[in-house]
Amino acid sequence: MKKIIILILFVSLGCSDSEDNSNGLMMNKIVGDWKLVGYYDDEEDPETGFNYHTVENGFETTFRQNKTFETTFIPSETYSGKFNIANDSILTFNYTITPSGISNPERFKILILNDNVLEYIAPGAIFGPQLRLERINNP
Amino acid sequence: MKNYYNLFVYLFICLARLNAQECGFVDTENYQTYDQYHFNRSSANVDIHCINVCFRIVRDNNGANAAINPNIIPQVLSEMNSKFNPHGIYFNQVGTFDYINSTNYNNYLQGSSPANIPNCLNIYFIKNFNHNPSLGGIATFGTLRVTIKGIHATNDCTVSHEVGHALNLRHTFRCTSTANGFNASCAENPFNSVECHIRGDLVCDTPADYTTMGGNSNVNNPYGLNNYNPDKKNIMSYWIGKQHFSPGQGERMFSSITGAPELQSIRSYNCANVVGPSKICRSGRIDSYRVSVAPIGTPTYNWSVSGCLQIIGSSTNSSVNITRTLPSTSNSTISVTINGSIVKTKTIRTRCLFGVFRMAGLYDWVSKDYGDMGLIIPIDPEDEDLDDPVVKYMWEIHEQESEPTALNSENIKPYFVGALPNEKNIFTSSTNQAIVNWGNISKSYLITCHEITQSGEKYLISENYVDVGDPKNNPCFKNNIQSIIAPNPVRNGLINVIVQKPENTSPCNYKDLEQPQFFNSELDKVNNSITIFDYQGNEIYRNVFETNEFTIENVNLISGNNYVVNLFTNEGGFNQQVIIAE
Repeated sequence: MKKIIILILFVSLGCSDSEDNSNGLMMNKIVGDWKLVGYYDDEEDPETGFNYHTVENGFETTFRQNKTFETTFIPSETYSGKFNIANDSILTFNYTITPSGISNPERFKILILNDNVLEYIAPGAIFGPQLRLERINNP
Repeated sequence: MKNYYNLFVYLFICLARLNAQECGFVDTENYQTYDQYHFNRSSANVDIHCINVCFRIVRDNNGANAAINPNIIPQVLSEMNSKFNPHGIYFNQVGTFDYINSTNYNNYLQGSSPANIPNCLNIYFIKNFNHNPSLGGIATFGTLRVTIKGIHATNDCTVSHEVGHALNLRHTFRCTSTANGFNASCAENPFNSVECHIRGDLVCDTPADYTTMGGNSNVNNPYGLNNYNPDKKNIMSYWIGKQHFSPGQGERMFSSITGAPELQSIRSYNCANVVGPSKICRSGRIDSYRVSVAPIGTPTYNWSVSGCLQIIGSSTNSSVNITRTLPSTSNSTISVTINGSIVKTKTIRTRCLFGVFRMAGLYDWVSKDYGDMGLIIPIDPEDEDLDDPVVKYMWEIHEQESEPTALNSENIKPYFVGALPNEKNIFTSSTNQAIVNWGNISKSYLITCHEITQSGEKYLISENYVDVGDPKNNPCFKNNIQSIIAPNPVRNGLINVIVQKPENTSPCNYKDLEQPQFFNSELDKVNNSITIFDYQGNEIYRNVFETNEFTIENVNLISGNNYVVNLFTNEGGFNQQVIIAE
């Protein structure tokens, strides 16, 4: 009986990995509504002496449990499609832009993801920007 | 602090507007390529700025985990100078480096910044940006601080990029690719750059740019990224493979260093040189020397000379006039003491094998239709300045402006073989040789040759006037040609002629016989034209002979009559002699 349980667990985990290579913990944590509040780059703010810059009226993104997302920009452009977070914390978007209809994939490295903060940056970007989003609504 | 920042944003908008004519890529004729700008910038007549830099290596509190090995600092400084020198900005390393033991700053924790060393641009190397582990560096204008992640110290111009910020440069994609998407209020239009001085990076010769590094940073862009043509080698971009600043960026930095109060404390005279000719070969000639670094405030100067040099006029101005006296010494020095303490000295040659070199191969007088003429500038090896060697020669043919030549399809002005089609009277050679064609217009010209040194200094080494004219008017040979005609009286229609030409050392010509390969082979051939007229002016014989001794046969002469024999040489020589038929 014990061997059967181990076998079932093994098959289950194996299937999960082969399907989407998702980081389940991060996938669960990212679900909800987020808003861009600022970013880091290589320019120091002369007033704060720090390289963090706040953003007013930042875009808003909704990550859903079914691995779809929607980002709304001001004034009227929407990116919607699928997302995934791999085990190496790489956040992948596959989206279509409305109204242009253009489709794009994009990849980012998640640096921080907790209950309130999501920060990510394009892989290989040595000057930034590292975007900072804050949760505005729990699912 | 904010007021200062706004003030200088405004100041540099104003400065940018001063250059508004250069804005915008619309008129490509006025746009200088990077190489052209580089050449002009390194010219001896342009001031430079010198910036003090202090290298600071951060370690953990216990002295471990240093951000970089100090052995790479020369490489960092070398890269900085290679990128900024073309724009007249040089860096002077103050001391060597120091260590700062601060684990917090080694991880760039907020509030842990150490105090800057005054009067220099502080370049800190840290181990890690704790909150931005991907980041390579941080800087901004006005803080005199640049912070670099150690592993990026020699990577893809990271230091130069951040120093560019410190000297008031902005990203080339500013406002086009932002964290929140396209910002129409300040983004540069890739189709129309008329507002380039107030949009994007505020520099007009950097094309509108975007970056793909920001993820959603290009949303709402109305222009479409395919319509951008960014300079992907620009150091202030985010593209991989950065190489250079644009001339406009160089001007912006240069203007900032000149005028921004935030940058005045880091300016220095330590990179300064005494600029002027590296040799004075002729007595009586007056040359001007100056300090290469632009004045900082109101400095004092005190010039002095040694050897066989003498100051003409004031010795306390920013430049000084100097002449050579006799007897000459091999080397002499020119020194200047700036602000009573900084001494800069230049050693120059004051005894040269030649004064101003004569071009070998060049005639004072040249027959038009001469064809190609090879020229050589003799080089005195002892005159070579090893610190600033000659890298090229610039040849020019000058025509008197007051006597412009009406050009038509038949008139050919003098030109250099191999010169650019639109500037055929100018030729730049990497060797001391050039080929000139004097065309077919009778006129006087001045031909000059300057040597151009590695630093961009330009010295006149030869200038010669050349008269181009009809061969028969050649003043050099006209009165010197002699002929012997025998027998005279002529018998049986046989005339023996011997032509005697002057030696090539005639004062009217200059010809170095040791360099025959550079002379016109046609001209060097003996080529004698004979015409014989009767006393009524009728031409009764004409022929050309290739030797200086020849026989004319079967000439139908009437016994007892006199005849005139005209002898022309290809060099323009002319001789006339009377013969009588037996």
